[in-house]
Amino acid sequence: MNLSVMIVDDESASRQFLAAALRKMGIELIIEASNAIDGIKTFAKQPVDLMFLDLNMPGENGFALLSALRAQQKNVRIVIISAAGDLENVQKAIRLGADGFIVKPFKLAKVQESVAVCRKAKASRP
Amino acid sequence: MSWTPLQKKLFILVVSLFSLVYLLTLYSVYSAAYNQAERDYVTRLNVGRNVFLNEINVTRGHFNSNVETIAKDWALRSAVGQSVDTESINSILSNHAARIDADAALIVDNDMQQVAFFAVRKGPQLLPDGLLLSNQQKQQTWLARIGSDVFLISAKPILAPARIGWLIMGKRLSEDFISRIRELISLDINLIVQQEQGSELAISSMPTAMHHQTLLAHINQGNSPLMGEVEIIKSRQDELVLMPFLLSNTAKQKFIVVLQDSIAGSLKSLNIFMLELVPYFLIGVLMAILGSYYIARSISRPVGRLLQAAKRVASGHYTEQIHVSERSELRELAAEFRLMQDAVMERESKIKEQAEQIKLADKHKYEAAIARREQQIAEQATEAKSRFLANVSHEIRTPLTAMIGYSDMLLDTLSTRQQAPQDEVQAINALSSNGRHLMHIVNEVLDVSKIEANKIELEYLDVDLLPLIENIHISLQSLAASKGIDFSIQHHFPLPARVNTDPTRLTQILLNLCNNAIKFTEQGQVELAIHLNQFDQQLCFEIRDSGVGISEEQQKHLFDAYTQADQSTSRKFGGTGLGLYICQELTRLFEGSIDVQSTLHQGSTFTVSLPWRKAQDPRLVMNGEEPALSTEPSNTDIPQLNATILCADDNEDNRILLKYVLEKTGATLTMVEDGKQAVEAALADHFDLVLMDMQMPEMDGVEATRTLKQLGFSAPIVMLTANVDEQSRQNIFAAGAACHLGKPFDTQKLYALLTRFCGTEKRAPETPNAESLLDEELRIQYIVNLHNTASTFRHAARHQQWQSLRTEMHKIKGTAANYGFPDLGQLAAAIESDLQHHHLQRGERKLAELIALIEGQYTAVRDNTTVDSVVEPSS
Repeated sequence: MNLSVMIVDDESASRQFLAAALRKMGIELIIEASNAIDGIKTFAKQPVDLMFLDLNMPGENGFALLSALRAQQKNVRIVIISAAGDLENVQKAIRLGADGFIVKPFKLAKVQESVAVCRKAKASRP
Repeated sequence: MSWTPLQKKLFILVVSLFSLVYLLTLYSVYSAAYNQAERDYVTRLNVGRNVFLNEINVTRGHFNSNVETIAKDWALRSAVGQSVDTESINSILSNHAARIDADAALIVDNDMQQVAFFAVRKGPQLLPDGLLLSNQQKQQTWLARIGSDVFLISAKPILAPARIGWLIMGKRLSEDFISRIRELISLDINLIVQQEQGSELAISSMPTAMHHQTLLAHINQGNSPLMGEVEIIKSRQDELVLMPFLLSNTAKQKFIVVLQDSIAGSLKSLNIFMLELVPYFLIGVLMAILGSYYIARSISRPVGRLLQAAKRVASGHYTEQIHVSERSELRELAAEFRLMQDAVMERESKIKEQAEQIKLADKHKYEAAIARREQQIAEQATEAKSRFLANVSHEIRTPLTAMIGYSDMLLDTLSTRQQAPQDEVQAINALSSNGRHLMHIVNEVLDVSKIEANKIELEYLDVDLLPLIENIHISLQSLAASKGIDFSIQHHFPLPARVNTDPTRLTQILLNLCNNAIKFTEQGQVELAIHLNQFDQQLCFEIRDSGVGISEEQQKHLFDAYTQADQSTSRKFGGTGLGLYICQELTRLFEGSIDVQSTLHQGSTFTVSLPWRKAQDPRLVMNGEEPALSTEPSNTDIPQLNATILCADDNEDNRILLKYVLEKTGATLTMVEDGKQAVEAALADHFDLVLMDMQMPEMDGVEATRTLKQLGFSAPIVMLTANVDEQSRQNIFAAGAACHLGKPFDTQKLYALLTRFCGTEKRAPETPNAESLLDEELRIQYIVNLHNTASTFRHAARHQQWQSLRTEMHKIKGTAANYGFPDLGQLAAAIESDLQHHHLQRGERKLAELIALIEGQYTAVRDNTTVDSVVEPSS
């Protein structure tokens, strides 16, 4: 099954690494955005199944994008990828409707896990 | 009888109305009669005068003619010249007088010399004045008062043919005469003589002197009465009506007749009539009273009944009947009243009904509230009790677990040594076995409290039956051997290979019973026999011993809590006396039965029959040689795992114990101390399994589990908990835990869980690691980029742009490890932390280190690759 993934991160190195990893996992459609505004605009044009979202970004942060997308009730799994993995942020992410949280620096297994969950969710969706 | 005010008023009204009418009638009748009587006086008095005068004239005429006859006789006698002596004349004269009823008679000659004389009484002087008679030839009549009497006197000349003398005769006007006239005219008659000396009442028909006085006073008043006119005079007693008229008038004497009537007298008949009316009046009054009473009653009684009914209705007696049989308005009123009463009654009954309902509802609500409250209190009490017991047992069991664990650990260590000091081993064994015994007691008490709070729930699993039995055998073998008793298992095949049961509880029952049997048997054997009753679908376990036995009396209370067969047994054999009670209650939970048969001094047989719940694999085994394939690890099996496990427990002893037990499996462990750390660690790294203590500070196990599961954390989470009540179970599973493990945990169970979740097989090797995954190009590009920006780090440090430096370090921290430079990432993280905490010098030192490291990596990469393939960043 083909998943589409968007990576929203201001750090290009992060994006590139994650994109490379995802490609290795067989995902072809990978969209990158370097800030929240860009991310939401791009998403409007090209919705994806899964979004890896950085929290700490210049301008609007990841939470803003998260809550904006959730307010639109877009059907997308959003996994936070952030170095700020303290409980407050985690709980805030859950409150705002995040589907996953990966703490940087991360093991690829975590990304794989998220992708697997997403694949499963998409498969079970009619 | 009592009168109501209305009745009184009505009565008075009617009676006074009647009396008023009566009196008015009476008055008008009376006054009319009075006026009539007044008008009648004149007539009556005039008639009376006429009648009186007529009577007098008739009497006079008659007397006159009699006198004339006698005079003629006298004349005749004289004419014949019959001379008579005086004696004879007197005799004749008296004869004549007697004949005509005269009172006196006198014959005189022309010279007025008395010739003869006769008088009834002596001495009336009948002769008038000589002059009066001397020249007269005609008969004369007059009235004269002689003495006290009034005489009618008639004088006739005796003519023979010349006058030879006079015959004078007098007739006294007697009371009889007057009375006779009075009878005719019904008027009182008074004859008054007026003389020079004064007036005198000569004759009166009235008996009382008083009237005479009045009359005379009136006549003598000087204002001489008008003759023939009616006069009315008032006396003290009466009003008198008078009619005086002149009867005769001579020179010396005046005769006045006064006819008299009294108004009272004339009204006498009226008065009599009135008097006669009195009884009628009384009868009338009586009838008025009765009538008014009747009317009052006829009005007031129904009104009274209505009133009474209204009163009773007002006081709530709605069924009051109103008996008003009277016609007309009252009946209508009563009928209307009844309608109103019915309406009121209906409404009242409705209100009552509603009130009843409300009351009932209130009562129910109240009772329900009380019941709820009581139940709540009871539940709270039970809850508090079981929570308390759970907490206490948790508090006791946690250190006990540590004690037992450590002693086992020590034994473990000692057993590996070649020469273990025997006394140490013994001591540690004692520690271990006493600890286990204490644990057993605590568990029993806890079990009883759970049973009493209905908190025990069976956990049905498919388990292999024979190994379960074998485990019991193994567990108790040494105990039996130490007592010199033969403990054997008797399988009566066929038996199911696997059954669906709660292995923990089944084991508990069988262990307990077997343990008891061994405990109470001094010599001989103990046997656990097991067979399947396929007809009843019952699995039966029989525990037979050749022990002390139980008397019938003792058997009665055998399964009661807190009792033992013999009070002395606790001293001799120990134990809490809860074992059989727990066995019984657990059997009941299994919907089975427990039974005992025993003969004193010969032994006992306990039979436990449980319904056979078939496992998914319902095969039966026919003998013990081919036991079902066991997936359970054997006692000594420690699974070898290649897994990462996260353990979260706030109790350090537990952590150490867990670490000891888990490290034996070869798994990679991460130990954290609370829920918060558990979440952060679980998100930061990959784990195959999480062991999570339920009660932890900061964030408890349930909350941490929930948080992780919400973020799609896929690894199984096992909850370690001492409290396995239903509520906790629900919470645990609702949060997303895979299962729970009771604390203090059973090592074998833990190993079984590890096997189940992590498997003995190696972790999926296809998980790509960073090195194998990444293109070398990306790595090179990353380090080249880093190398290019490294100069900006120096620049920032020099200009003390700590914030931007921190951001850069943050970026490296997040990415370097992914590109295969974990040491760079760690260093960057350290610098970020230093800068954050204002350890600027240290940060700067480390920054230099970092830059050196980047340079080193860059050099290495550059040397291994062709520089051409590196794409320089465009910006």
